[in-house]
Amino acid sequence: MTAERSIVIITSDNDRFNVERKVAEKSLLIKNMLKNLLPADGEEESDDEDQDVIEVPTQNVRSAVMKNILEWCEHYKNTDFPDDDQEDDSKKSAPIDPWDKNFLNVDQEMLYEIILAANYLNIKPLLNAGCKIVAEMIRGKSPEEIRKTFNIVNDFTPEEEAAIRRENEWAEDR
Amino acid sequence: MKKDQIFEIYIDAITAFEAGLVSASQYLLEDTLALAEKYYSETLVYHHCHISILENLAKVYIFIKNHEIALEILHRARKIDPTNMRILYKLFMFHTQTLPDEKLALKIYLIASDLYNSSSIFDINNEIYKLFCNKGELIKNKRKSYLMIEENSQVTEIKPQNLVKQLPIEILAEIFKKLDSSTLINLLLVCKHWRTTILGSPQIVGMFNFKKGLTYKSLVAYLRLFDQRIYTSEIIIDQLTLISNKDSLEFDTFKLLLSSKLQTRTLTYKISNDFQNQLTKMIKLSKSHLFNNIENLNFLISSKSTALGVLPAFLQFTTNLRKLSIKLENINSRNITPIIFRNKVTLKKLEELEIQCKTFDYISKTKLHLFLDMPNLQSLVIDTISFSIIDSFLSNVKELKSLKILRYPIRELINVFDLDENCKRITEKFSKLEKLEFSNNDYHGGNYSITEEMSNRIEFKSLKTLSFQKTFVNTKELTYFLECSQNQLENLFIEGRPSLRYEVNGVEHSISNPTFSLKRIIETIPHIKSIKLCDNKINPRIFSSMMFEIATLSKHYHLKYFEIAGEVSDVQTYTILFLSIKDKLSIDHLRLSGRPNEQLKLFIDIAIANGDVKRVDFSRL
Repeated sequence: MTAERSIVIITSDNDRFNVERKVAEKSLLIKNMLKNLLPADGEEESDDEDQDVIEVPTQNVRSAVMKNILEWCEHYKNTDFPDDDQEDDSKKSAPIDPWDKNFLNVDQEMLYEIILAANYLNIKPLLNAGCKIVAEMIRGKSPEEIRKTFNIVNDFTPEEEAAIRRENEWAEDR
Repeated sequence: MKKDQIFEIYIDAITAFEAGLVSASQYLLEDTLALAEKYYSETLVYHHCHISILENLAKVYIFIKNHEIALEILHRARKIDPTNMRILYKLFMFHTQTLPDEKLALKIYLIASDLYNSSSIFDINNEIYKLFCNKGELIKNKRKSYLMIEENSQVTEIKPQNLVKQLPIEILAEIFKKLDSSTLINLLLVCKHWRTTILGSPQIVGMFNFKKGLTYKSLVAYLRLFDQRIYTSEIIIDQLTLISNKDSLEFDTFKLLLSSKLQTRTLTYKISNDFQNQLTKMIKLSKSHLFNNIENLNFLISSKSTALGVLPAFLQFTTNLRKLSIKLENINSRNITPIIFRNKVTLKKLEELEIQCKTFDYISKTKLHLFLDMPNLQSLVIDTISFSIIDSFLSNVKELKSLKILRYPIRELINVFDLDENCKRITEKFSKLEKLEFSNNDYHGGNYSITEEMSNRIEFKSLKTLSFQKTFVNTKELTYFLECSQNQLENLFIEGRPSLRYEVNGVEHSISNPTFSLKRIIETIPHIKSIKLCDNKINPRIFSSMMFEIATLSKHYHLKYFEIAGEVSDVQTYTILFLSIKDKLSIDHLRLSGRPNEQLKLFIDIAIANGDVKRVDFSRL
């Protein structure tokens, strides 16, 4: 086998995306999957010779979301991310990459779906960026502002709210 | 404070039950129940412990096999709060295990699952409901004919733009981790669903911090918030600092902490009280899991305290301890109690130990003898001027890789090493030591002489790094350490206030009167890679003399890092360095002090072009 076999990602709604291996491997899930299918580069493979397309089904991700995910992977295809296992605090609190920030400037529904997909596909830097975006939407806001941001109806009675405020006194800065 | 009295007796009762004192527990529970009922009749508000008291009382009656009363108590609790899932579960368990009656059990289960489906109070993550559900469904399938109530199938699918509903707990935890505690508190006030999700997840609850440390008041408020809901799982928080303004509450806080489900990875405990006997007893009785999860323990003991005595009790249970720090402040030997270990305590996982004893009084060895076995201790930091502390902590280390000694005079330390009659034992003891650091060590006027034999007796077989920071070290002492360790030594750092004698023209090096020589260090220490020498006494004359010596090196050497700084105001002096190292020394990273002028820059460029240095930078003095 000499030619690179092409990789096709199939989404939950049966859309097919033809992707470069490098791009697909931004997802550790797919990377590990391919590792099993295509042992090592240049190694002779006899089993599936007739099959020159590798299909990767992703049942949890719909087409519109996958399109976004792949755009992200394409952008970072030449970037090596350091092992996330030993993430230090400085990296955690680092500001969001401007490109990511712009990329994730989508409606909330899509943002959640991208986060979920990044989690499922095991794309840690994207998941991390998504979480940072959401955290930023919450940071420093009052309960009322948070409700507004996330479109939530306050279902506490004033009495309940007062009681909770009283409960929270343990954490108050005294 | 009637309210707290109820709470306190309740805690005592639970502790008693766990200690096996069932009748004492029963007595206490009935006592506090009466108080809680009185509290209700007076305020028309149920005390927050009321249900828990009933629940535990039922447990006691089940234990003593008085099932009728137990059941009656559980129903009483249900009447007070019909939506309390825990009580429903207790009733369910009563009908499945204590006095099996599947029909009644099923009835309870159906009530619970109705409640679960119709109300937002309970959450899918609610551990109790999960337990409940598994067992309940089994009975439900078995006894379909008992089904009297139709199943509520109209679960409406709402899809609001709601973060908490769409993302799984792990991801929410990931998001919330990036927020500070005060924002997290605000999340609890957003809506009921968020509240129950957050409170239902020990993972998230563990992120709440006690900003200013844990006081009795804050702990009670915290437990009131969480203990009622998360009954089945433990909350592990990262850091807990126990403080108390009023001495009397310190003990109570600790007592309460022991009986709660709260756990921590790091515990900082500043003891300022004299109740070590009570505390020791309580820790032993409590069977608390608090200690199991502690990885870092910081013990601060301040003046007037005799609290050091509680240490054995702590260490006995902290089996997962990795880092221990003990700081004694303003303690003098008169009021320190000896530490008594009845049994030898083994801290298998302990890797780092830090001792700080800021006292001028010498604490006698017998008072601070730690009967500890630390087979994996890798790093030891000792900050003291007390001989007995140095002696007792250095006597029991085997795997030590890093040792840092602060303040203790170096000369005296050498003497401690030499005092050990069998020096081989020291060589053995420090055979794995890779890093030896001194910082802020004092000058000692004592008259110990260092003889050549002394350095022949001891060997630091694996020592790679030797560092002196702001430390009084003279050439004799330095020579001693270099001779004890030269085999593997790679890094030598000297900065601050050394008292070295430099070789300036004509001064001869002798064993009895050694001088410091860069050349000798480079030539005699086979693996030396980094040298840092920052000494104010290095003037242009000394500097030049040092560099001329370098020019006479017997062959070509390579250093990864070389830093030199002193009173060399005349930057041009540095040009001598570049002339001297040519063909003799190549340096990957050279650091000088001051600011380079144009001429020096030129020399640097030439040296880089020649390959003598790869990188040069300047530190500001």
